[in-house]
Amino acid sequence: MGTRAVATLSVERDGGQAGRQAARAAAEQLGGPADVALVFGTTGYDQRELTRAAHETLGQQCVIVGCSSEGVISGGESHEGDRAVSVLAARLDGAKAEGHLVGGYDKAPQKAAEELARRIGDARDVTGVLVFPDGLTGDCTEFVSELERRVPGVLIAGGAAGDAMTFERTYQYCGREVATGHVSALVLRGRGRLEVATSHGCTPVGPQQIITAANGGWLEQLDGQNAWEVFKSYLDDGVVDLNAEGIVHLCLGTAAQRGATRVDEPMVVRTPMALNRETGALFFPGGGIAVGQPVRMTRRDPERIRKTGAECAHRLAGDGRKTPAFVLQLDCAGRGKILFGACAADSIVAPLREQLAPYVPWAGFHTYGEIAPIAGAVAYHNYTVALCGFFDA
Amino acid sequence: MPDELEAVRLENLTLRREVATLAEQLKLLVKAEHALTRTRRAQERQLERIETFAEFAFDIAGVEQASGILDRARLTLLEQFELDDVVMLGVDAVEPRLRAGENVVPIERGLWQVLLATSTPGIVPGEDPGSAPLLAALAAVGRAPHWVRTLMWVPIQPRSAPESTLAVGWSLRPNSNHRDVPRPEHQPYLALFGGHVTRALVSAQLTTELRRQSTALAQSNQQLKASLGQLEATQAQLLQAQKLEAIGRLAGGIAHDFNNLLTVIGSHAELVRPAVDHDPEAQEDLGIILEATRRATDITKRLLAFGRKQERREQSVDVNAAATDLSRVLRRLIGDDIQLQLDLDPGLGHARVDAVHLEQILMNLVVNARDAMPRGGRLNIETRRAVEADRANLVPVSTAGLIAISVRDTGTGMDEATRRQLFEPFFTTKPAGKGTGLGLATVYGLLQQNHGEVSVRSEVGKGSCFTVLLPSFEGASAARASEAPPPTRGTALVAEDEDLIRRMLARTLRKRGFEVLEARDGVQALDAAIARPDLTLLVTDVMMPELGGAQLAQRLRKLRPDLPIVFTSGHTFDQLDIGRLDPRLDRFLPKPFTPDEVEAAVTAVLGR
Ligand SMILES: Nc1ncnc2c1ncn2[C@@H]1O[C@H](COP(=O)(O)OP(=O)(O)O)[C@@H](O)[C@H]1O
Ligand SMILES: [Mg+2]
Repeated sequence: MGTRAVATLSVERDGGQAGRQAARAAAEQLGGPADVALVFGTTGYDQRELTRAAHETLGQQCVIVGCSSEGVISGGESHEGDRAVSVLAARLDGAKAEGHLVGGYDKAPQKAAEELARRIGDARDVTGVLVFPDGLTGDCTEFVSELERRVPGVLIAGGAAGDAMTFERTYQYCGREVATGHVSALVLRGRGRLEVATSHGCTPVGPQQIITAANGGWLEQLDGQNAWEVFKSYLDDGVVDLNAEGIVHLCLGTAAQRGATRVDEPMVVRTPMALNRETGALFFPGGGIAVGQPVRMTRRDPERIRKTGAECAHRLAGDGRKTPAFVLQLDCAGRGKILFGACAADSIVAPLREQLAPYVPWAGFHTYGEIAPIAGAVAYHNYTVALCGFFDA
Repeated sequence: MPDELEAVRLENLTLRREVATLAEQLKLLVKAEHALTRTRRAQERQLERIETFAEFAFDIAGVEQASGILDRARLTLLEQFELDDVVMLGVDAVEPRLRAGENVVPIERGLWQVLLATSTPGIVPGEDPGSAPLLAALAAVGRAPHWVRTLMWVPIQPRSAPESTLAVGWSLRPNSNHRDVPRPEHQPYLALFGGHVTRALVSAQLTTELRRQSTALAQSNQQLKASLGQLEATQAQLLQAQKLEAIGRLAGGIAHDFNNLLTVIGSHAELVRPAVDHDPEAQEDLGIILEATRRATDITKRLLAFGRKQERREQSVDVNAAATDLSRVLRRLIGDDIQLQLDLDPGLGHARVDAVHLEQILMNLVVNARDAMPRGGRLNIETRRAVEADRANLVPVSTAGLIAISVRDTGTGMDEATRRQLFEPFFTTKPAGKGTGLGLATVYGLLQQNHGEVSVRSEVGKGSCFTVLLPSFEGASAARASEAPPPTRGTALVAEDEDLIRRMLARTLRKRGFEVLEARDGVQALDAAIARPDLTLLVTDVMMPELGGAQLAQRLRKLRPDLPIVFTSGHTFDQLDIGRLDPRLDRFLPKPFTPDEVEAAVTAVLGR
C-alpha cells in the first residue's frame, strides 16, 4: 500500500480555527487517522491554540512535530505573512514515527544533542531524523555535529524555527507542547528511507579571506579588518544597516569540508542576521564561525537559485526515476518574498515541484537556517534549500 | 639558480599583485552591481508606483460607488507597497463609531476624536507612540496584526460626507527587493494619493447626484410631453365638439324651418292629388314631388336628429348580443353581394353605453362599409378587449377596461385627404342626394357622449377598418372608483360674464358631479334660479352688467335663504360692497383661481 500523505494549508485569522481547519482537511483527505504530522505555523497565531487545535483534530495516536516560521509552504503555495499554517500528515506503512522535544538547546546545544541521542537509543532501525531547533539561540553547528557523532550513519536534516523577521522568539512544537529555546525532532524508524538534497544558488565574488576574530557566532574580523567594513566594501555606499537588501545581496561562503583550507564548491553559505553597529560585528545564528576558518564573499543570483533548485529536486528524485511519498521543503526565509516578492512560490517552489510528479504531497516552511548533510557531514546552512524526500522502498 | 629563484619570486609577487588588483576590481564591480540594482529597483518601483496610480486613477474615473473606489484604493496601496494588509476604517462623522466592512463598533470618544483629526498620512515604526491610536482602532474592529514593523495610514476625508476613511496598512517584514515598505519619504506621495481618492469620492458623489437629477428632469420632461399631448388631444376634441355643436344648432334651426316648409309642400301636394286624378302626366309629376318631399323630409329628420343633443341613458350593454341582434337587420341592409362575418370575443363583457347609441354607431359604420363595396366584398365585425394599438391618439392612457369593436370592409378604402376630413360634418365624397356627410360626425358625437373614441385605418383599394372603443362596465366602474368623485351633487348656477371663466367654472363643477346652469349676467342668473327651485349652489362673479353678484345674492336669498354662494372677483374683498358674508353659507374666491381652489371653496360652503 505504501505511505499515504497529504499537505494542507489554512490562512484563517484565528489560531485555533486555522489549526483545526488544516488538520481536519488533512484527516479528511487521508480518509482515516494520521500516524504522523508535521505542523508549521507563522507567529501571528497564538501558538498554543494552534497546536492544541491540530492535536485535538488529528487525535492522540498522531505524532505531531513542528515549529514556528516566517512563512509556510504547502502544495505550490508559499505564504509568508501574519497567519498561515501548513500541515503534512501521513499514514505510514511499516514505518514508525516518534516525536521529541528537547530543552536546553539554547544554553547547551551539545547537551541537547546528547539528550536527543539518548532518547533515540538504538539507532539501527532509524531511517532519518528531522530536527527543528530554535533559530535565534543555540549553536546549531555544535548541536548537529554532536548528534551526528552519537547516532552515526543516520540521516539528519531539518530547519531552524523562525518568526516574522522580528528576531524575537521562535517556537518548537511536539504533540500539544510548545516551547522556546528547544529543539523538536521527528525520528523515523522501520521501513522507508529519508533522503535530502540541497542547493544555494550563490556565486563567490571575492578572494578567500580568513576569520581573524570571532566570538560565539559573532564575526568580528576578516583578515584583520572590521567585518562590517569588509561587507560594506562590496555594498553600495548608501547602505547603513544590515537591512534586507544587504542581507540578500551578500552572504558568506564557507568550505563544506571541515578543516578545508580553500573555499570551493561544495560551499556552505551563511548569512549574517544582525549587526552590532558599535563594533561592526556580524551575528550568524547557528554558530560555526571560528577563527582561522577561510571564507569568501558570495552574492546571490536569482537565476541560479531557480536553476540549482530545480537540479536539486531532480537529484532527490533520482534523476526522475524515483517518486517520494512526500517532500519537505526547508527553504531560507531570505530567499522568499524578500527576494522574489509576492510571486516567490513561482521562483522557489514551482521549479522544484516541476521535477516531480504533480501529485507528490509537498510541504515545508521558510527557515532561519537549513540543516542538511553536505560533503559527508551535517551542516548548518543559510540561504539554502534543504529538500527532504521520504521514500517507501 | 638564485636568479631563477628571484625571477619566480618576482613573478609570484606580480601575480599576487595582479590577483589583488583583480579582487579589488571585482569588489568594485559587485559594489557597482549592488548600486545599480538598488537604483534600478528604486526607479522601477517609482515607475510602477506612478503606473499603478495612473491605472487606479483611470480605473476609478467611471466608478460611482464609494465602496468601489475605496476597494480599489486599498488594492492599489497593497500593490504599491510591501504591506501585509490594509484595512479601510470608516470613521463616522457624527457618532464615535468605526466601521470595517460590515462590522460597525462603538469606540471611545477620545480615540474617535483623534481619528477624526488625523488629516495627514503617516508612516511610523510599530513601536512609535504615533501608531497607538491607529493600532487601537484596528483592535476595536478586530483587525489588529499581532506585530507591526511599519505602520502607515492615509486619511480620505471628503468634506460633508457621513463618514471619512482611514486606510491603515502595516508591514511585518523588512524592505524587500520587490516592493517598498513605506518609508517617511513616501509621505508626500501618500498625501497625493489620499487627496486623489478624496476627490474621486466627491466627484462620484456629484456624478450620482447629477445623474439622479437628470433622471428626474427627464422624467418630468416625459410627463410634460405626455400632458402636452393630452392637452392637444383634448383641445382637438373640444374643437370638434364645438364645431359639431355649432353646426348642429345651425342645421337644427334650418331643418326645423325646412321641415315646416316641407310639411306645407307635402300636404298641399296631397291636397292637389284629387284634382289631377284624370291627368296621368300631372299625377306622375305630383308623385315625383311627393317622393322628393319624402326624401327631403328624411334628410331634415336626420339633420334634426344630429342637431338635437340626444338624450343618453347609460346602460350595461352586452356588446356581443347587441351585435348579433343587429346583424339580422344589417344583413338585409347590405344585400347579398356582401358577406357579413362576426368575430366576437366570448370573454368580452359589457360596455357602459347607451344601447340606442351603440346601434346607431354600428349602423352608420356598416352603411358606409356597404357604400364602399358597390361590387360586393366582405364585411367583418369584431369585438375584443382593447389593446394599445387601438388607441386613436398616443395619449398615454391605459387601455385597461376598454372594449374594442372593429368594422372592417374590403371596399375602396380612402386616401389621406379623405381620412383627415372623415369626421367633419357634411363631409362626403358621395354624389348629392346619396350622402349627407353626417354619418361619421354623428358617430363621433355619440362616442364623445359615451366616453368612447373612434379610430380608422385604411388603404386605398384594400379597404377600411373603423375601431370603436367603449368603456367596459367593470372597467368604467373601476376607473370611476379610482377617480373618486362624482356622485351627483345637485344643480349649480354659474353667473359670470367672462365666457372663458364661466366655461372653466362650469366644466370644473360638472366634473365634480354638478348639473350646471350657466348665466351671462345677473338677470339671466336670476331667471334661471327662479326656474330651478332645486338649485343647490350659486357661484357668481361680483362685477357683472345689469345685475351684480351682490344684488343677485341679495334677491336670491329672499327666495332661498339657505342657498350656499361662492363669490368670485378680481378685486379684493375689501374693495367690494358685498356686505357681510355668512360664514356658514358664503365664500369669497379671489381671481385668478384654479379648479382645485374652486372645488375647495364649493366643498367648504356645502359643508362637506
Ligand atoms: N368604410 C368606408 N370606406 C371608404 N370610405 C368611407 C368609409 N366610411 C366613410 N367613408 C368616407 O367618409 C365620408 C363621410 O362619411 P359619412 O360621414 O358617413 O357621410 P356619408 O356616408 O354620408 O358620405 C364618405 O363619403 C366616404 O368618403
Ligand atoms: Mg355615411
